[in-house]
Amino acid sequence: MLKKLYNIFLVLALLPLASLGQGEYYNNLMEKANDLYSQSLYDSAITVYSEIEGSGLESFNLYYNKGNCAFKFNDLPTAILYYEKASKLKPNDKDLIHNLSLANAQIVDKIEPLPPFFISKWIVESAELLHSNYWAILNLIFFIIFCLSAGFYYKVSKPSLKVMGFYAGLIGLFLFFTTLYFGVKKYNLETNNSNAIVFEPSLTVKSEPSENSTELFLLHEGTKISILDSTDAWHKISLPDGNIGWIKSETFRII
Amino acid sequence: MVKIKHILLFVFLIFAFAAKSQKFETQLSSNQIQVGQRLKVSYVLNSKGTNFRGPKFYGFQVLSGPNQSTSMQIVNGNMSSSITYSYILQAVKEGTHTIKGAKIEAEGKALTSNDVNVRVIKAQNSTQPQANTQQNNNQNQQQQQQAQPTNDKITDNLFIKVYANKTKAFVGEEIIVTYKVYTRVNIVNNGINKLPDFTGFWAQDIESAAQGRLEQTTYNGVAFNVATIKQTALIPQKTGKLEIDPLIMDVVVRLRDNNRPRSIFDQFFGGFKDVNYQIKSNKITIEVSPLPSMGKPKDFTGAVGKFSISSIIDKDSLEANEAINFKVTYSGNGNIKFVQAPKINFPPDFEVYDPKASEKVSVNASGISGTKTFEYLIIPRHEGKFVIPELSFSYFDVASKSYKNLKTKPFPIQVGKSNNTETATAYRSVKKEEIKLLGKDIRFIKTNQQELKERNVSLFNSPIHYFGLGLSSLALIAFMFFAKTKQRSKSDLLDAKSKKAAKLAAKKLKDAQNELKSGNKEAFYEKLLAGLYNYFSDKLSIPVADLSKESIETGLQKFDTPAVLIEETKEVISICEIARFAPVTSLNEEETFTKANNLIQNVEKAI
Repeated sequence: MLKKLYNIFLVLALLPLASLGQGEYYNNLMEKANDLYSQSLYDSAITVYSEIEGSGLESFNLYYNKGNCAFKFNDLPTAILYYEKASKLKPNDKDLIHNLSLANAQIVDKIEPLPPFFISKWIVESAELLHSNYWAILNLIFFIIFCLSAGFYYKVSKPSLKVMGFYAGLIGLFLFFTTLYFGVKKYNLETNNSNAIVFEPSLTVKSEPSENSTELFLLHEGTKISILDSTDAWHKISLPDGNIGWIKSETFRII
Repeated sequence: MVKIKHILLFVFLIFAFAAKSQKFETQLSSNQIQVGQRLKVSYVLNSKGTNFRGPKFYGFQVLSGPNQSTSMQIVNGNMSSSITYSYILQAVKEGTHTIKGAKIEAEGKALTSNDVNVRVIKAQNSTQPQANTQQNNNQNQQQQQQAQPTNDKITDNLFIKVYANKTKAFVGEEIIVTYKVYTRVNIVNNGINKLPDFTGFWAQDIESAAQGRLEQTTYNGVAFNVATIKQTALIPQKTGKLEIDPLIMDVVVRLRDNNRPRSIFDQFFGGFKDVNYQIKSNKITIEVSPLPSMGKPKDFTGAVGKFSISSIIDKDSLEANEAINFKVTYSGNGNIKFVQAPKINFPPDFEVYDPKASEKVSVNASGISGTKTFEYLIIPRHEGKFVIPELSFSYFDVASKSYKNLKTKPFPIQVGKSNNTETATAYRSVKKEEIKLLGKDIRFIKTNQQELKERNVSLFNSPIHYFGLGLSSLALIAFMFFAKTKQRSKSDLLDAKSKKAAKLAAKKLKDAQNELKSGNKEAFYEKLLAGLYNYFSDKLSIPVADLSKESIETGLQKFDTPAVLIEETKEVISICEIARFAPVTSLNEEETFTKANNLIQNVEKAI
């Protein structure tokens, strides 16, 4: 047991060290790509950004900058895809919000989203205040506070101190659950793979997963959709305005 | 010679004079006639004329004319010639009608004759509409009687027959109806009085060269002259027995008049008279049956006959926003005029304009045939691969009495990205309601160094997260466990002390009592106080070093001891302390002892 724990500790401690050299290389690549972008060499810049992305690493800046490159090419679906990817990591960035709305203003489809219920909107907004890492840290801190308070409560015999310990524990426990809730929300938002961007210039949405079914409505490239369900070749999608239909694979890319 | 020349000159001058006074006038045989009677209209020109153009006669039917006649007169050595153009008219409508003047060119001058009014009154005696004798001026009973036998004679020798190429047809199937005049008599003039109105049919007259030409044929063993007067293609529009009205024709027949030899000329030439006669065709009934409902295709729109279909497209690969011309052509025999524009399921993203329809249809004795073309202008708005789907067309084949289905081939279309981005943007801006941001640029990239992380790796839900939570809980549980065992051992000791406290106290009190018996008061109080202190120390688990009146008080309070008991405790302890350092004689040692004893017992009871 102890040895196992030790091993885990060892791995966790060495992990950042191991990726340090690699990280340095890609950081340099990032700088190189940014320079290329500054010289309006968007073509070369996007290649370098893609190389970094191909390594399995990610950052808000990477996605944001790549989205900018695609936008300069007038490749709106790709631009929107990467802006949305960036948005998952840092949804409140002002520049990102500006660029994404600019890209969205130029696509064909204009979808009026259903107004979200105000409480769920607050919850999502609150959850998006912090990255899930910070939620995890807060979660741990509050749990430790709870444990300390519980121990204190248990240890002291003086009633006034006991009351103090009790309330501290209660608050700690409450905050532990709150951060757990928001953390789970945020974690799900970050790891959610059910949103996608349409890449087909003109995409007909069908009522059933079959070629011969009724044509429901038409989507154009750059529109954001949610994947609800999937079969082998067909995917059930929903739009922000509540419309639901089926589309074929390879007509969209997951954010 | 000179004389002769002068005479000739004179003669020419006379002619020239005469030519100057050209007269062209309209003359009528009567100014007032009855309906059905005849009127002779003459246009007389007193010189030579060419290019005569007669007027139209409203309210009259032209029976004959214009008939030209010339005459020459020499009166008092003056020679005059005249040309007369005459018409024989039959009054049809009552009222006052104007006979318009005619036009003629005489020696390079255009002349118009005068207009004349005619009053047409109602027929006074019921003359038979079928026959009127030529002599309308002296129309009398005798002539009417004489006309009768000639009419009988005409009926057998002059009639109209109507033929239909079929009498049973489906709705939409074409039928050709032919009207033929059979005659063995001399027809001077003819005109169609009333055409059938073909109720329930769509009708189209067939123009053909053979129309009106006389041919020899035999009918019921008798030789006849036959002429086709009218041929019409009919398409039934409703079901049931449809009757075609008869065609009525007015004919002027020249008959040999043997009854009334009037003069020697008549006898010599054999007298003729023109009889006005009305002939009627037979009625014809066509049985129209509905198209069979069995096997009727969904896309059937009513085409009956025999058709073929073709479609062409002018290009199959283009850029977005360019136009494609898509043509569908129907050709064949039948009711092609009724073929409607096909419903084509163009890809939904195409902009499609209404088709331009054009037709080339000819109607002849073999029926209606031709082509009908629909031309579509379509504009793909976005790039991609599209297909103009196959087109299905169904018609009812008359020959096999069944429905036939034709299909065109589908056309794949490859639409490339439009190079002309401006139009694309314009198109977008038309579709969008509000583009506030258009024209602005995106913000610059982020150049600050940011840590690159593994994708989809988060501290949340990670082993470290769970490990931290687990470690904390374990620490808490371990802490509680250790704390509990420690406290238990400690409290066991205290409990035992506390239980023994009363016994120990009783022992100390006994010592104190012994001291009292021996009269040692100071020692008595000392022992008593020590006994009490020991007792409370054990009972309340207060270390001996901390013992004081106050600590005992708080200790008792902790155990919720009644306030009276606490007061009592404090009192007994104070008495003992005071008596120890300053012996008070007023105090009763026995009483103090009993108090202390009771106090211990009461505390034992309370805690």
